[in-house]
Amino acid sequence: MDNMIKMTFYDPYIQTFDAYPNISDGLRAQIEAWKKDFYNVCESQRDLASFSQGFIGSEIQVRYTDLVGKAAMEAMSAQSSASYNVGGNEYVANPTREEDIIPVSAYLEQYREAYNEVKKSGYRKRGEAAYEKIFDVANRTDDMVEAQIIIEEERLLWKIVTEDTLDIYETILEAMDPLYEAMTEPISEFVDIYKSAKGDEELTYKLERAQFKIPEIAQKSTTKIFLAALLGTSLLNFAKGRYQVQSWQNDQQAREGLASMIASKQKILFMVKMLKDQFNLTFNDLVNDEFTKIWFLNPRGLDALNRIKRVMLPENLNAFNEIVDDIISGKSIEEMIKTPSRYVVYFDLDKKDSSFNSEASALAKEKNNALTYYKYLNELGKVAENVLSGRDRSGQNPFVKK
Amino acid sequence: MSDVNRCVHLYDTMAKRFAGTPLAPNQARVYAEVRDYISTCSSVNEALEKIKNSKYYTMQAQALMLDKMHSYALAAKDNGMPALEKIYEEKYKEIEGDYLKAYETGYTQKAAAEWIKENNIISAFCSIYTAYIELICCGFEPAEINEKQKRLKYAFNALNNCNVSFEDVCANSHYRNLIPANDHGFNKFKSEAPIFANAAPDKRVYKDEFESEFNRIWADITSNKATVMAAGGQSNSLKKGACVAIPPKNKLGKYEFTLRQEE
Repeated sequence: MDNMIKMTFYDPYIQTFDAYPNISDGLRAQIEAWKKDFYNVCESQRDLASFSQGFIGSEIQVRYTDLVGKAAMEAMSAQSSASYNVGGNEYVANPTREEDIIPVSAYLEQYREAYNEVKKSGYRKRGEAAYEKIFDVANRTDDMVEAQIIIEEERLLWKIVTEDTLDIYETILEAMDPLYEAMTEPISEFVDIYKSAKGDEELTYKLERAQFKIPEIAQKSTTKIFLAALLGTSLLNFAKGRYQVQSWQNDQQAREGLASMIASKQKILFMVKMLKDQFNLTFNDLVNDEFTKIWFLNPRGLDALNRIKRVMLPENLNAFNEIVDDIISGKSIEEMIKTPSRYVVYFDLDKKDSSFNSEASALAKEKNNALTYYKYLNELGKVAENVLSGRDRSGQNPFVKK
Repeated sequence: MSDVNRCVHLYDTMAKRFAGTPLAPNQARVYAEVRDYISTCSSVNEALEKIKNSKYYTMQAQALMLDKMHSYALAAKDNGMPALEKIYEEKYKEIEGDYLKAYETGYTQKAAAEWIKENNIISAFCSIYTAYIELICCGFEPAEINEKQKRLKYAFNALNNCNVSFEDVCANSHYRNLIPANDHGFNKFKSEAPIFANAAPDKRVYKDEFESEFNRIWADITSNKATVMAAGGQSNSLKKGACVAIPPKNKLGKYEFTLRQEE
């Protein structure tokens, strides 16, 4: 068996069943049969890539998941068949007599472990408050039926789900550039859903719909960014070409500058026409839109979520406007070469300019310092990365074990 | 309110909540039935015993899972993902027949595989579009055209690996919505992209235009070099600079540019 397949899949999958030593003989036999089949599947694949490609959703993986579910269910049934212990007291698991019913305070203790986890994180304040409202029910009544009515009428269990998840997603959202829709949209959508869903079924439905719709929203935004960046590059090349010609260091440089101007003009004209014909957009629409204009300035993120960016100077937008106006109005290149330009085009500082980079990074750090996201970067960074990379568009609370 | 009446009230509250959404028909029905079932009991003890010895003991959890599958299936239907809808419908039927089947969660792997397929299609289709735009917007130099065309071909191969045709993807409104072009732009993309993946667009006209324009302007500016350089001298010439953009608090605000440095 390929060693990577063995380490990545075979061993971990086989070992899962070690957690369930006391299962029925019937289920044990099914698991042993599956193990043999799984061994053969792993043996038949030449490497990890070919194995992974066919594994997800395959019959062997579906059988595995079913068997884990069955094993877990048998383990749970064995546990719940008798009694359970809360705070050192034994309680009947499925009471049929009123006197066997667990006291309210003991019943609510089942949420203590989860609460402690939420509290330990430090920033999940809404989640903490939601759990505390649950524990407070014990102060309001010592009657179990009454407690259940309060929990149901005030939707206290539901609020644990929504409030705790909002803690996570709103914290990430706060650390993002609100104009960078391709990044914020997936998270904003989840936030809206968690705020509006009234129950688990609605949440399930809406998250599935969002998982489908989010790429549409994100892609529209990404395409606009792409068009702005593409056009921005040609405008910058045009300006650089004009500078080369007008400064005329030598003939070779002037020739290169002229070639760059003509080639860039062709591209600019093509793109401006394409914007109008294919997107009903003008250059002004893009450059005046706060969301797209930044993409003409070659932004580079200075923090984990690209909220704060290093950019070329915004005066370039005036120069770009001038170039586009001149080209569209039919002004010839020779005329543009012989006329002084009204605006400065600022090229980027050398990327290795360490003094500016250090100052810019320090500023970003200072501005981000108050944001909760950066205080808990280790934990939240992984969540944000998975959502933004599209690996997790499910919107489920990432800290709740499924 | 007597104890048993409070139990009835609890089930009634839940039944009404579930009835308030079209996504929980099973729970709405089961909780309403339990409410009625225990309404004649004289004590909580009797109600608990009665439930435990009835079909309702397991039906509440079963209804929860059925409604979950129903919600998933409905979303898949509304998303236009019939294969995914079928996975959830089949699981619904399994759980309906035997509630213990809810613990067999292999269906989640099948569902995950459907989402991976969907995401792969989206990724490949968007890559085709981006590569197409880059190709049509690039210059006439063969090296540049070849590089962009390679990307387009690669993206088409990725879509072929998803076992779907480009035409079918284009015809699907969901995938159409990924492309923010108007109908004219989208139709152009639909017809040109597959052609350009095999034969790069002919940009000779741009090359010819370029050469004639270059020769004409070069002749002009070399004989007017002093004018050109004078214009250069008066121009706000090329400089270098950078700054930091701080985003606004919300979508309606504007960027703040700070830490300006120029040389």
